[in-house]
Amino acid sequence: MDEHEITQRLRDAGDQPVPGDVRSTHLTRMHAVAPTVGRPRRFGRLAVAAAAFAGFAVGSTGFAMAGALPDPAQQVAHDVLAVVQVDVENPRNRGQCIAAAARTNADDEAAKQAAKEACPKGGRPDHAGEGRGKGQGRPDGAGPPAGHPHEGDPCKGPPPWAGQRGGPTPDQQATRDACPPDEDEVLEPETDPGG
Amino acid sequence: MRRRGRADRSVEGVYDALARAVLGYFRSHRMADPEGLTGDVFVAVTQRLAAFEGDDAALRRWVFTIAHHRRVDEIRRATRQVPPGPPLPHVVPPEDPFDPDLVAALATLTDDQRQVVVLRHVADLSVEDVAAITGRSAGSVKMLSSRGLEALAARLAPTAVT
Repeated sequence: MDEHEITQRLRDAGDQPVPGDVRSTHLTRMHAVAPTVGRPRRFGRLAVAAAAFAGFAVGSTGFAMAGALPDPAQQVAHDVLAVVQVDVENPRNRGQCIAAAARTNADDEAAKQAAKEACPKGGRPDHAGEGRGKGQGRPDGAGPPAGHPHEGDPCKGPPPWAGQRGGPTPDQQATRDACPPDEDEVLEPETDPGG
Repeated sequence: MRRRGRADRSVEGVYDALARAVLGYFRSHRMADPEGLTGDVFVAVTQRLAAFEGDDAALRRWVFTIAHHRRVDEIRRATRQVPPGPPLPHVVPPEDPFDPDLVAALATLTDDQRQVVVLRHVADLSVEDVAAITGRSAGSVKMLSSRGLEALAARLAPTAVT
């Protein structure tokens, strides 16, 4: 018997039909471990991820429009949404702060006025009693908080932009610049640029 | 040519395309339960088929890789169950309904020769595929295949003494 005949017999050994009952048993076992076989997914993973992102974006926008996000996030939301001409509260916008103060204290004139006065030249009214962390002053430029030795003096204590992202607004800086030098401040002599 | 284009990749399609060869593979190795082992292979195939990517040749190679591993596992399992004493055959040779002489002749080959010959010719795999499955070089596969076929030819010759 030559090699060709041998290989043909081997090939035939691998080409014998599977008995019908054996085939049925095998397919039953296979379908038992593949419950989703033949049932197409309604939504692919990409569609689910896109829907989740869209829901997150809509929810975040809602918070942004209510001015309910933290200042850094609110600022980002303002900057991003401004591109698509969606107006949400800018934490540095005094006008929006005034409007928010009026909405929050609609029934209490005194509280409304206090909240408006607390609005920074470019920021939100600070919540009474809430600490803003060590070294942080009131963003409204009105000076250190209640109980501080220099309470009410905008030229004393930590600067109003302490802890504020993005540094001082022009109004804040101008207010601080208008303060007289500190009593213990040593002024450096100006150097003559001409040498 | 056994392979025709891109086969049906449904569970049933893959089964109908390859079950014969897988069953022949286990029968050629004289495994105790070739039908049960074939079912095991296709259960494993079904569980992973959705993640498989490749052409028909890659699919065949993948399925017979599973079959090869299943055979090795079964032999180890059967060997562990052998009671202490004289070594017993690791498989119980069933009566092959198709070609008992061929199966008997294959049993006289060395394990390495039989592995290669069955994968090359019963499973209809290329030299490269057999090398990948068995962890051998292509040259080694060719040599083992050649020697195995020579031994089979001698065993199955009409004048051979059985």
